[in-house]
Amino acid sequence: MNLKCNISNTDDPLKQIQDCIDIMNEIDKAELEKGEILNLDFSDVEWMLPCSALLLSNKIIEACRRINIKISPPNKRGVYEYLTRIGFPLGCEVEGESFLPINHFSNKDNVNEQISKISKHIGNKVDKNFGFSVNYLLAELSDNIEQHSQFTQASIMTQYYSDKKYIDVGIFDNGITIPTVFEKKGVQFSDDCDAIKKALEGESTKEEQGRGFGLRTSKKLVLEGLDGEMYVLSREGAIILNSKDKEKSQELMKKALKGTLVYMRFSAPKKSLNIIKYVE
Amino acid sequence: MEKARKVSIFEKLGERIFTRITMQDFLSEISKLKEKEVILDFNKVKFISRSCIDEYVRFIQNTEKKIKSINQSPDVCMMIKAVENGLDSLSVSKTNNNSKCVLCGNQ
Repeated sequence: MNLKCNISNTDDPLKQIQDCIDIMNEIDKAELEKGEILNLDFSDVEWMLPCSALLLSNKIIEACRRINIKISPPNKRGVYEYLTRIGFPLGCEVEGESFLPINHFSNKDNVNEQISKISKHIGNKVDKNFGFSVNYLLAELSDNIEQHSQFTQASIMTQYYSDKKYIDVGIFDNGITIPTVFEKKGVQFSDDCDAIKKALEGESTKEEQGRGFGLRTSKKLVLEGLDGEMYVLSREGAIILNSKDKEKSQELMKKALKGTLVYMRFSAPKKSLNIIKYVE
Repeated sequence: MEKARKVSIFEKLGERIFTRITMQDFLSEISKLKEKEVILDFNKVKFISRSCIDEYVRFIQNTEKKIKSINQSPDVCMMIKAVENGLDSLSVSKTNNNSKCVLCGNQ
């Protein structure tokens, strides 16, 4: 069975992500005869953003457990080389000078060990002025995944742009999404964007006091400490935050993402950053 | 007199500790130790996440064991202090009458 994977040639992450959701849904629906292979045809893809590569690779690795998949790579050489370098879709052990390829881990893996490994590699590459900020973000986001998402597969990638001194960190889990967690725990919200906003403000589904700081402090650190930008997508909600506008935009997507994506871009601080200021 | 048990966090969990579940499992092991006094050695531990520290502080405040923590790096110590302050403001902490870090004695 052939599945033509059409991805818009754009730098607009939300546009590409909606294309990816279509492809992910098609992969989920694929019913194959015994021994049949699903061919994912990326041959006409002109450009794939890192967040799209992250989402699709997570779905492919998840689907590989139940069906046989073959990839027809993009014809465009630059795109093919980029995807190979970042370990699309199965991940890769070889790291580059400025990036860590896609890393996948499942709910059966030791999440702490996986994140620790990633953190160690990133620490060797990025500007020292980041201090422990990247560790802090990886810790809070991976902890949320482990504690709340009921994921089976999660994926992380990072890219460091040494000339511009900024870093991209993307983390995606295929769990039950923020709005669904809230629904299960009886937290009220008007729509999926509102659910994400509530999570970013520190709404917790845990009964103990002093919980729910993960996304809230991560947001504070990215926007205030690192002059960064943050995309949070979960189910139909998409929130984009940046340091200038605080909330740059929110959008309800036409199709639901089966999982939660947090994608961040932030710059190296001018002097060494002390993350304690942002901890609550 | 019963001797205190010394436990190296680095040997058990490594130099970076990220997820709350990891810390919960570790502290559950500590709870099961037969010794009433335990020395937790933070030597070589470079980073502990906020959620792990949160778990750790709550444990220290509620355990019946006598816990002594040693060799914390300044970064780890500051994280403990920040989490304690957060819990104090929520009136969860029992140590809000003391401006010292209850775990290491630092101001």
